[in-house]
Amino acid sequence: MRTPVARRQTLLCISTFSLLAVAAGLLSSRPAESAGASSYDEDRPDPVKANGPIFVDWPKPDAVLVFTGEMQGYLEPCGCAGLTNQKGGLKRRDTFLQQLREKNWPVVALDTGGLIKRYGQQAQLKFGHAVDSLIELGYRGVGLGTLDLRMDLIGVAINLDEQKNPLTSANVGLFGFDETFSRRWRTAEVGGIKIGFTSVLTDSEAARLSSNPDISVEDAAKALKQVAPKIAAAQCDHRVLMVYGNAAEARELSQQFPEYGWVISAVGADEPPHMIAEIKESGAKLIEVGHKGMYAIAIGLYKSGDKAFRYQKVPLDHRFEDSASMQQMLVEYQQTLKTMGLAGLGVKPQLHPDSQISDAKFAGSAACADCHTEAYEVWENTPHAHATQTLVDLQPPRHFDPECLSCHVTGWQPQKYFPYATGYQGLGETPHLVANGCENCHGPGAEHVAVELGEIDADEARTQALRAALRLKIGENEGNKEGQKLGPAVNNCLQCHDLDNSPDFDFQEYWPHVKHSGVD
Amino acid sequence: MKALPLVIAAAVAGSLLGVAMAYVSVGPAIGPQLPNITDSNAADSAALGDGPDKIAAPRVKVDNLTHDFGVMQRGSTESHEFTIENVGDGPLRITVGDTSCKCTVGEVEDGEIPPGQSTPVKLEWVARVLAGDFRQTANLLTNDPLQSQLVLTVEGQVVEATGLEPQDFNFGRVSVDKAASAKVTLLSYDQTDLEVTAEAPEGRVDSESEYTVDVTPIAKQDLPDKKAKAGVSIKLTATPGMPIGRIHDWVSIETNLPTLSEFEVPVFGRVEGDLTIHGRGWNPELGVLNLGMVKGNVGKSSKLRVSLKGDAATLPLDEIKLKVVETDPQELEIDLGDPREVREGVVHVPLEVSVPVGTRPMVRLNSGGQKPDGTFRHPDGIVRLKGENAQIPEIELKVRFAVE
Repeated sequence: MRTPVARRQTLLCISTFSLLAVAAGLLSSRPAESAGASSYDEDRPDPVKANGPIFVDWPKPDAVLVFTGEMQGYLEPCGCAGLTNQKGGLKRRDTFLQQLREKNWPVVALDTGGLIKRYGQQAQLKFGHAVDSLIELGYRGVGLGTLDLRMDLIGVAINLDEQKNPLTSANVGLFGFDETFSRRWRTAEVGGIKIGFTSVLTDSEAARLSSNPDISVEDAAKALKQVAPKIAAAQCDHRVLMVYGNAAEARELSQQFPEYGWVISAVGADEPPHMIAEIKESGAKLIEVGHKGMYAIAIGLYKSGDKAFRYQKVPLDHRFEDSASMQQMLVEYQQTLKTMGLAGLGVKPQLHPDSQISDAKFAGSAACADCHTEAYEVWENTPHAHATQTLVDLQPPRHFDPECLSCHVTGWQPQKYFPYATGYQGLGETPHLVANGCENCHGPGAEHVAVELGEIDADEARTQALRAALRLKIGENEGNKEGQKLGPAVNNCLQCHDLDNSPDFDFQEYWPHVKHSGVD
Repeated sequence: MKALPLVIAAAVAGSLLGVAMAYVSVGPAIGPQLPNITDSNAADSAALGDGPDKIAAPRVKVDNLTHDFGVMQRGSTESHEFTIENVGDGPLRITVGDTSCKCTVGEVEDGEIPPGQSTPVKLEWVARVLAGDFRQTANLLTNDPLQSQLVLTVEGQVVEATGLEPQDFNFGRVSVDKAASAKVTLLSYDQTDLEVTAEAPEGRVDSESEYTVDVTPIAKQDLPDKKAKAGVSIKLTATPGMPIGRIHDWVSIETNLPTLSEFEVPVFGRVEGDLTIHGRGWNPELGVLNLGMVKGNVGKSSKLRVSLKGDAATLPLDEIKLKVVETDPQELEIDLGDPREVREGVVHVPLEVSVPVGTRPMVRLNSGGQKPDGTFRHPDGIVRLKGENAQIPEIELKVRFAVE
């Protein structure tokens, strides 16, 4: 016979179990993507809520085509501030592709090209790094964009494993389309589906190429005619044409070559459309990939079922964790920048535009503090004062990367990534020029400091002229928003607070936090 | 033990109750029905969900989910009102979800749309981006059980009041003994009296070459874009003798255009002699092959191509022979391949430089502080190659690496 206590324990146990079961039932019935929503807050908003869920109601596809392109040098999410609010980056792209593979979705990943946008040694390193990364991510094909072709393609291609080399272009090749370097078309077979693909640089893009006798470029349509019978002979289930050109050019080529069911346009709008478009004349589907690698486009292919394909625009936001392998490759890239040094990256100091007014040498913010104590104290308590340290503290540190340094130290041209003469050179070489200091807005002040301290002689007129040159006055209603007046002070801010790095920048809202004026 | 069946029954009942409650609170786990697998430009969930036994529910309808602003001047603002219609039986609630960072969505009146009614939703966009195609979106969240999210899209093309094409002076690849020139065109779309002056770059101090820049007005009938009102051609010329390596300079341009009074245009190109080297990690400006950090138990290598032109490339291939005359440190391994003519007048010799597996730890990073003679305590490694034929110049590569 059970005691009342035992009965109470049994009832309690049943009640507890029932509650747990109810809770378990509730949890198990929640849509999968919102299950982790509680880990998001105002500083780290829920990406699914912000950018929408993905692959809703997708049955397992027989194969998935993943298209990306126009990375434009953005190895990391577009811009460097507020990464949780920004999209893109190879680390997230890797995780996205891994997740597809973990679900046993057979993936063929293709990139249109357009991997970099700048020129010079750093761009060359970045191009090689980007190609290596795409190979590591399992890409089967990578097209060649106009700016990619300014790089030393030979040097990159000869170091690629021939079995993994993804460089593909029907109309651009090295030394008469030597297959050591790239292929004019390729195939990939996954999930019992065979994909044939190629890419072309449109004629208008080809016209923008500078002379390079090693590179062979053919008319896009002519080249596609040459490869057409070869791809046809390969008896592919789907044919993909990646067009390094705009959507109108892609449509035109599609009309001429309707056998390509999937036409990808690289140089389209900044954001891919939410819906897939059909090219009526050819029946092909037109896909845009957007800019800066912020999105991937996934096409699910089905051999049976109600739909032959499904389309998903995938925002590469922080729902995708950073992958360890791409992080390691980024570490190696930053290490390369460090070992090459600024000189090795071709970063040469240039004369400051103020060189006609003063000696245009930088003194460092501490020199300003002697007389502008209050202004200095304000600055000291702003993020500007530890801008360099921010780079040093990152993993990997970015304080050897000119593209980061230009807005995080004193004495650089923010948008052109070079130092001015006597500007920041390194933590050890120019410790007085760490942080985004006073002289970035006011101009180089070494001569002014020397005159005020009596270290060099100057008459009253010269003294006043040097002071005037450093003065920066905010105009009436000056700001960067609609209805406000853009002036020289705000223009200075916008050099770093640009749309990539500070999309929410509002001068009139930000200024009170850094407000300062003149001498004490 | 008698309680066990009761516990199991309670667990099953509880689970079913939990699932049922979850179903009621979140609805079927269908998620938002993104209208993204067709090319339809309209959303009408009524067409998807109506049935004979339907319950009163809102149904959202938008005739055109995408609006084309056409061509927009950079900096200008455009807006468009989308009409959101409730064609269902229950009140439709819509809230604004995420928007592209440059879009603004107008207030939804009252937040609730009765059956048969509609409300406007405004998207406004300021074209503060570079010239080119754009697309911006705004997400609307609805209580329509068949369409919980709508994506409104505005798109178009941003143009500048002025146009610079191309965006840089690009000489491409230039032989050291040849002059080079490159041209850009500056067009004004809103001003007929275009005045432009350009200042040539100073160039490098070690250069024998000089830059000159010419600004030539383009006659109205010859303007490359008929929408332009005025234009000039700016030609930059470099005399022979530019230093070997990459060119990266700037041309300063001043105009009488209020929106573009002063700007700089980059100058790019690569100057080459009769001998060039291509390869991963090769830095032509410094003559350095950067292998970076090397794990001693893994090793590292880079494949290079020595490209010969001029006299050396006229030799028969079997007479183009390179030999290694020095490696420092001696551990560096050099592998030279057979020469091959890759195009007329250009011969490539494959070259592979390796830090082999098992190399002792060392630092050759051109670092560690300078000695009195100006060299570094940990200088770059050196590889020196020589042709067996006098027409092939001696080749020196510095190799930068550190073995961990």
